[in-house]
Amino acid sequence: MTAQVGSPAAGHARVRGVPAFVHAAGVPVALPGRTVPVDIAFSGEFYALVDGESAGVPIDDAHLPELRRIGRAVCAAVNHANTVVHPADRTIEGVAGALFTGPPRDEAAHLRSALVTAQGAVDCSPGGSATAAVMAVLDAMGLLGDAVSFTHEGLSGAHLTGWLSSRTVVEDRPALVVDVEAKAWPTGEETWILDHDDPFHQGLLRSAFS
Amino acid sequence: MKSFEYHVGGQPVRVIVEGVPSPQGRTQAQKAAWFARHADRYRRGLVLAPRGHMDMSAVLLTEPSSPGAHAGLVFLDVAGCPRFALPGVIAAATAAVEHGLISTGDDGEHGTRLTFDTRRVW
Repeated sequence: MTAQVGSPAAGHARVRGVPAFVHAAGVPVALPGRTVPVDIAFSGEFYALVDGESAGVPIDDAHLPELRRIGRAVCAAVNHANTVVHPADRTIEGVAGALFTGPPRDEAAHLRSALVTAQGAVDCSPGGSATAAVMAVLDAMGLLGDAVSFTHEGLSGAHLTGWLSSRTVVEDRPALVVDVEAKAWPTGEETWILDHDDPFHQGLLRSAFS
Repeated sequence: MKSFEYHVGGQPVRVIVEGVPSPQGRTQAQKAAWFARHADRYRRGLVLAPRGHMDMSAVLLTEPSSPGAHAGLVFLDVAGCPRFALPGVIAAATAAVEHGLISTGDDGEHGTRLTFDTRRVW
């Protein structure tokens, strides 16, 4: 894969994604108290796209605990009831995250989303792979049209633009190659110590912090 | 261990540049598997609390696996070594340019093109 980084002053990096495609659309997923349709798309990993309204959860930081809980439940339910395998590589199996989608807060964006991994971790940026997955689903629904770019809003409010680079096929499925452009902001330079006498030098249980 | 820290509008990304074992293997999949098997304590130590947290992510620059690449990438998070993480690519590319980790010969005026090996994601 290739990443193009602008001058350090500008600092934007543009990265070409892998072919993104829809694996299955409108798959019913049983959650406690409701059944919601999800679209399963691949864009480097498999993601389950869920409409936030149909899942009954607003996409905002006040609802992070619910997003984590429902996101984990969606992934578990999809992976329990469906065989999700990449047609060209059987080692790529199962959805890695649930992507909750909804209307953007900022009219400059087309869609807002939040990504919750199968383990319940949250990326509050729009996410590059998530952007390509959303574009693949919108394209399959006929909603992307001839648009060459798509602006995606994350939980943090950050925007990410995906650019339709080319169309291709993966096995017999129509697929999109999407470039994304984003900036990494430096926050620090760290020197770390792992003291092997520290009984918790391998870190504390992640479940204690979810 | 040393890291350069970034965010890309969301979760933090820790670009690990020094002090962890160099992953062995011909491919990035083999390097990730080697790291998970032999050096997982470093992932846990750097990604879980108290140095990290539930939503922390990290990326490790490795030797490249193909002749045309500048470096390889192994991604780390609380669950293990994910196959691909785009914020990790953007942070690693930015760290490589800002800190001169990789020499490309580009003048930088028109940007710097970096090629990374990752696990195959089709």
